[in-house]
Amino acid sequence: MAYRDDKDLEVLQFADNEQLEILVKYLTKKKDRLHFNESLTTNSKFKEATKQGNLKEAWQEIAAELQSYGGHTVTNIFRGGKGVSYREIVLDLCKKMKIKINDKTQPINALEFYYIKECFTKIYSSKESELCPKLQSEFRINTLEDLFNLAKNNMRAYAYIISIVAEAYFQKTFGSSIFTPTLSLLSTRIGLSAILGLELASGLTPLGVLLVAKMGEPDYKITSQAVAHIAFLRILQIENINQEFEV
Amino acid sequence: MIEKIFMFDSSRFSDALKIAIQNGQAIIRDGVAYYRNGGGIIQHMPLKEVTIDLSKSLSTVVSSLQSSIMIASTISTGVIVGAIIIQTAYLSNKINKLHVSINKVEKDVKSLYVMNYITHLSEYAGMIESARCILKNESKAETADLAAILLVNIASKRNELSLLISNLIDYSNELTDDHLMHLLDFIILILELMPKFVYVEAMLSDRYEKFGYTNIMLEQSKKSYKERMKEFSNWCKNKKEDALIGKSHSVFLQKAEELKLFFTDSKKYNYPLLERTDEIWHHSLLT
Repeated sequence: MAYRDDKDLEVLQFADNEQLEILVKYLTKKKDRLHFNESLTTNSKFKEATKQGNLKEAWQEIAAELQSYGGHTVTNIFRGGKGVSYREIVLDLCKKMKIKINDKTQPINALEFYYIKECFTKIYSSKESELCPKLQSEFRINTLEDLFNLAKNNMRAYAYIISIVAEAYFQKTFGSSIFTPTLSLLSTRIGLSAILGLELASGLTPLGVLLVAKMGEPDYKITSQAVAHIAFLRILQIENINQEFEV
Repeated sequence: MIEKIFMFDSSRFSDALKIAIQNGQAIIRDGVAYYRNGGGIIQHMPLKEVTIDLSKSLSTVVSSLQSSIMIASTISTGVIVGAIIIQTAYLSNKINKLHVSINKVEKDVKSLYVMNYITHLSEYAGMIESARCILKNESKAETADLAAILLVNIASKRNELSLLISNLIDYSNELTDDHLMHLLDFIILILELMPKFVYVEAMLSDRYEKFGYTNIMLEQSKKSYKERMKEFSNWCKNKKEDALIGKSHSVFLQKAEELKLFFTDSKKYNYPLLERTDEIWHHSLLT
């Protein structure tokens, strides 16, 4: 999958190896097994960067993988094998979560903030969630600020938390669905002609069309975790600016 | 490019000089240590020749000199950078680079107002080269009249340079990414050169025993340089933050590492050059 120029994802080039490893995990693994449709681990540039322990070298490949998860499989084909912009991914998540966005052109960090705030608010206001006492007792996380402070001191613990919060939120809101995994990356392997040929040959019924449409949807479990992670990477980068340009 | 420079050899300091330095009674001007209270010369500073490789970065040259057994470990960064500026082709190379950068920026800058200042900058750099030339001549009597005229002219150009930086920052907001890249390189280069130019001016002023003037000039220049650096730093911070949230030029992301290095190096190599001459030596010899 090719990288689509995306100024909102340029922040990834400043992430360190550990921060990118976490993002790669969200994009490629599901309970320690590789996602069936990921293509990142077979990318030669990514493999080389992993071997050298410098994922920065492959930040565009990582970004491209996320862009592809955010797009609809079939539409990705017509986009010339490219996924969607990061902004579209975030807006899509907000729409899924019914977050009202009045101005879609506002800076990306504002959109990310709406999303993260919603995840936390929903989880913390949910009485049946077992997650809140766990976050409060084990990690002393009561507010977004607490989470951000944890991110600065213990990246792994923070990554674990956003992963379970985003997952818990999506389980609670949408439940588990057989349609969640996407065909996003599958399309590049099968190719456009094969897909179209399959469609013509099978003579899809309206239900079949709906099924394909649903299966090709963005993978929200993956994008939700990735967006939460990138949002915090952005906050960390902005926090570092003062130190970098200190006079 | 290998060059030879002379540095102070602290192993040959006289006992009287060592005591005067420790008690804060020594003042060192143009290679001569005097008693601060006007008690005359303590010692002509003993020198030692060392070899440096100018094809390497300033930080590499300084750290290799500091770690070298050829030089007493007490010699500070300010002293070493100062010696390199006055005695080698380092500054000439930088000024050549500045002229190349001016040619690039001239094509991008459409404002006559800004262009006017850039012309003054070019003249200022030429004057600094002349000052270095005078400093190389050991006969004070022969060059005294030239130095006096030059010092007046340099002073007026120095103030214009400070204004140029502010104007360029204001003007840059109107530029596209490609043009901004050139301008950013240009501003970094000016800010790198500014304290070095001031150092040469201070050396020239000291040579002709205008000690009071040197001190006032350095104080003013230090204040002005700090203000410009603060202005540039705030601008970079805002621009990088905007770039990180996708709001403005990605130039600031492409240049992030270079800018970071510039701010770190400035603290190490530029600020010490704006200290009063005797302060530089005292820091060096007392640490």
